[in-house]
Amino acid sequence: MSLPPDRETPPGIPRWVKAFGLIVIGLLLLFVIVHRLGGGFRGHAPLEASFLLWSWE
Amino acid sequence: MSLRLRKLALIAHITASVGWMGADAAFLALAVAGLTTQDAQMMQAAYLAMQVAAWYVIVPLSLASLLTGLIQSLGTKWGLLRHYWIVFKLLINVFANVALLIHTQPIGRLARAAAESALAPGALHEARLQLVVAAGGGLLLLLVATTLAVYKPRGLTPYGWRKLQLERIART
Repeated sequence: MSLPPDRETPPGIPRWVKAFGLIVIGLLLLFVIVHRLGGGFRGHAPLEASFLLWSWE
Repeated sequence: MSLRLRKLALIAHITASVGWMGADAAFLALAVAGLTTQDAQMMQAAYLAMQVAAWYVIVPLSLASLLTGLIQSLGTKWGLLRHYWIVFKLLINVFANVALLIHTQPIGRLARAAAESALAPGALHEARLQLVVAAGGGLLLLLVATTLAVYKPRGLTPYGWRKLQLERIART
């Protein structure tokens, strides 16, 4: 792993990270919207996973 | 970690992750077959096989991929939060694991209906379509994670940068 040059301040966020972040946010919104429109997560999660989704009930 | 242990952890992580991707591809094929076939026996076989594959292959492999990925990153110089590509891989893995656990419910519902021979070609269409979309989306996410792991695009997080500066100071 090559080290970046010394500098006083942290480097800015790379462009690919910004693009990826926007795509991730878009996909998460799509996932939530599709599941909410499709009747929500109620009765959708197994017991093992339902603790993750308590806020959707 | 010693070199031998690092190699072992890497083999475990690659095996679990690639196995997960392959199992997801087979699951997608079964989901498409279950959605499109007009043959009742084929449909029954597809959803019963999907439930077995999900619980005994895909869920264990996905959890193993997450666990070995955490070991791999925390036990090496790469770290878990130092590089953006590793942070994205972690987010993809956690999201895919949660989504998989959520979708075990419709898988179980379809398998129960198939076992009771109550699954007509048009029945539970929404759940059947959902499994095709989920399996396809999961495969896409795993492909993105694999691409990130191979290319390792540059980019240190602010935390990674601070750690690097501290290491440089400690060396000089």
